[in-house]
Amino acid sequence: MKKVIEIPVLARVEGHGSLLVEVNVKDKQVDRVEFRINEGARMFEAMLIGRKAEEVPLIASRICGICGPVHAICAARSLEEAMGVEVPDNINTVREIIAELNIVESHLLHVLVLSLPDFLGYNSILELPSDLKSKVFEVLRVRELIGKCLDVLCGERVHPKNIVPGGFSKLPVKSDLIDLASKLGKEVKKIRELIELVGDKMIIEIDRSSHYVALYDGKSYPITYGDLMLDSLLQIPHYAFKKYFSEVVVPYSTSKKSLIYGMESYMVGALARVNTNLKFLDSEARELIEKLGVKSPTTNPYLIPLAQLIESIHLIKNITRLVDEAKLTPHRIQYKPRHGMGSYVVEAPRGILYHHYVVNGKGKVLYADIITPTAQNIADVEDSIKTIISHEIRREENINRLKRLCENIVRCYDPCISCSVHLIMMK
Amino acid sequence: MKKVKIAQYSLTCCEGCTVTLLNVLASNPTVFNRIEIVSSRILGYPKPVEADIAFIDGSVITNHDQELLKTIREKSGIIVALGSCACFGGINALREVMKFNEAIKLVYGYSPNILHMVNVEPISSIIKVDYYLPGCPPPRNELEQFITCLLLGKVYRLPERPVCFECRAQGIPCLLDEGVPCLGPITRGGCEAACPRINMPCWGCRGPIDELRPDVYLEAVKDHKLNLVEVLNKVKIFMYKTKARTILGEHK
Repeated sequence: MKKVIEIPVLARVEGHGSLLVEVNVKDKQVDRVEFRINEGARMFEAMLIGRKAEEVPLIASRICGICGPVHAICAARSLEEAMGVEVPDNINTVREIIAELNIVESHLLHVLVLSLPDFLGYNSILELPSDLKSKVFEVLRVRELIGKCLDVLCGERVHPKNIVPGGFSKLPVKSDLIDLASKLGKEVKKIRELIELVGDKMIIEIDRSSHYVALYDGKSYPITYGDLMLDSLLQIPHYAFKKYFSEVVVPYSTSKKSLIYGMESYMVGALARVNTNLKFLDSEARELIEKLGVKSPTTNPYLIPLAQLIESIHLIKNITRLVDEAKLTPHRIQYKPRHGMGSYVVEAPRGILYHHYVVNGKGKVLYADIITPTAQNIADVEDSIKTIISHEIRREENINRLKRLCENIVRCYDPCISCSVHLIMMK
Repeated sequence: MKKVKIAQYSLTCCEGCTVTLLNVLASNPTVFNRIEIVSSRILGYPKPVEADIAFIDGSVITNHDQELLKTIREKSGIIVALGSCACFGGINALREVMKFNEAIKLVYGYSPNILHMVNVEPISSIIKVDYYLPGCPPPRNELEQFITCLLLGKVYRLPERPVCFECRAQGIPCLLDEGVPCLGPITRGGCEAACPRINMPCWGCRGPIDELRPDVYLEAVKDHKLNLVEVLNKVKIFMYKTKARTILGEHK
C-alpha cells in the first residue's frame, strides 16, 4: 500500500517550493521523493546577455534578496577572471568582509525565523512563549547591526550598490566602520547564550552521510577564496567546477540537479564548511561544539542550523579582526576590457556559488552561467529525506509526524528557491 | 487598541522587499506592537487570510500568480505594491528583451514544455492597487514613513521630484557632466540619491516620474554627448515595462 505525503506550499522557506514523498507502507520504505520548485522562471542568464561588465553585479544581485551581496561579489570576481583583471589584495579583503557579513545575516534569519520553530515544536517564531521569544528577537536584532555595516560598506544591505569589476565605486572612511564592527563583536555573547539555551533541542540523532563540498585553502576558513574540497580528500581548482559537478535533467520535472560526475548527490553550506575547515574555526566556536557533545565532522543534516550558529560566532570574530586590518584605499582600479572567459566560486550563505561569464572585447557579456547552492543541495535534500523517512517509518507510521519531519529536514537545508530558479518547474 | 492585521505575500521575485519589510517591522517596537501579522509564508502562515493591509512584492510571471492575486484582493482592505517588480514589472521584465523560447534555450540548453508562464506584468494588471512603493528594494525611510501614515489613517504620497533634485540638494557632482549615463533626471526621487551618492549612476529602480519630459532628457543626453543606445539599454534594466522605455524609444 502506498501513502503520499504532499506539502503543496512549503512555508518558512525562501521562495515557492513543494514536496512530494511516496511511502510504501507495506515494505516500510520510501519509494520516491520530489523536491519541487514552483517559482516562476526569471532567467537571469538571459537578462545578462549583452550587458556591460559593470552592470552585471548589480543585476546578478537581484537573483536573491537574502544573498544579493555574495552574488554581486562572485559576478565581479568571475568577470575579473574573464578579462584578466587583477585587483589589489585590500579590495578582496573588503569583499571577504562583505561576504562574511552577508552569511551571518542570512544564517540568523534562517535559524531563528525559519528553522528553530520546528525543533521547538512551534508553527512560527511569533508563537514562541514570551520569554523565549524575547530572547530570540534579541538575537534577531543582531541582524540590524550587520545590516548597518552592509549599508555603510555597500550603500544598501539587500542589493549592494557599489560592487563593480575592479573594486568598488566608493568605499566609506574606515572610522565609519570601526565603531559598528566593534559593536558587532560584542554581540557574539548573545548568540552563544542562545546556543546554550536551545542548542541541545536542535540536535536530533541520525546518521546520513553525504559528500561534503566547501572551499579550502589549508590555513584559514575561506569564504571568497581557495579551492574546492570534496570530502576533505580531493582538492579541485575553482575553474574546474564544471568538470566535477554537473547538472542533470530529471524526468519528473524540468528542474536541473547538480551531482558529482552527474551521479552522486552532495551537500554544500555551513555544515560542509564546518566539516571541511573544522581546525580553522575560532577557538570559542570549537569549544561550543565540544560542549554540545556533537561528534565532528558530522554526518547529520539536522545539524545544519546549529552549524550555522557556530559558524556565525566564528565569522563575527573574524569580521572584527578583518575590519581592524582592512585598508579601504585604493577602492577601485581601472582596467581595459578584453575578450575572454572566466569563472569564480565563493561561499554563499547556503554554500558554493558558481558564476561563469564569456565577455567580448568591449567587456559585454556573451554568455552567462550561474549555479547556486540550492540547486546543488536539491539532490541531497531528496536523498536525506529518503534515508531519514525510511528509518523513521519503521519506528512509527503516523503520517502527520512524518510530514513534520520532512518539512524539518527541508528547512534545515535552508533552500533559497528564488536563487535556484533558473531551474524551473512545469506543472 | 485593536491591532492592525497585516498580510505579506510574495509573487515571483527575490524576496528582498519581504526581508526589508520584516526588518522595518521588527526593528520598530512601537509599530510592531500595533500590528498583527496574519499571513506570511516566510513566517509560517502561507494561507491568504482576511487582513486590513496586504503588502505584495514580486511580479506576475505564472498563472498561479494571477489566481493568487484575485484571492488576495478579495481578502484584503488596502493593497500595497511593494517594490519595483510589483509596481511596474521591475527587473523581472528585463527577460523580455529576448524572445521567450530563445531565453529558455539559452538557460536550459533545451526547450522544456512550460505551461504556466505568462508575460511579466505588474500586479496592477490583474487587480486594483491602492498604494505603490517602488524601489529595489524601497528605501527604508520611506517604508517607515508609509507604515506610520497607514497606522495613523493618513494618506501617503510618493515624492514627485526626480532623483536629480536630490543630488543637487546634497551637492553631489552631476554624473552626466562626467559623461556617465545616469537616469536621475527621469527617475522618481525619495531615495536621497542613494546611488549617485556613492559614485554610481542612477539605474532608474524607482521607475519614471509622473511628469516625464522625454524631450528635455534626450536634449541633455545629446548635450552631454552620451551614447543614446547605451542610455536606452540602461532604461531597460528596471523600466522595461514602463512609459519611460516606450516614450524614449519613440524619440530614438
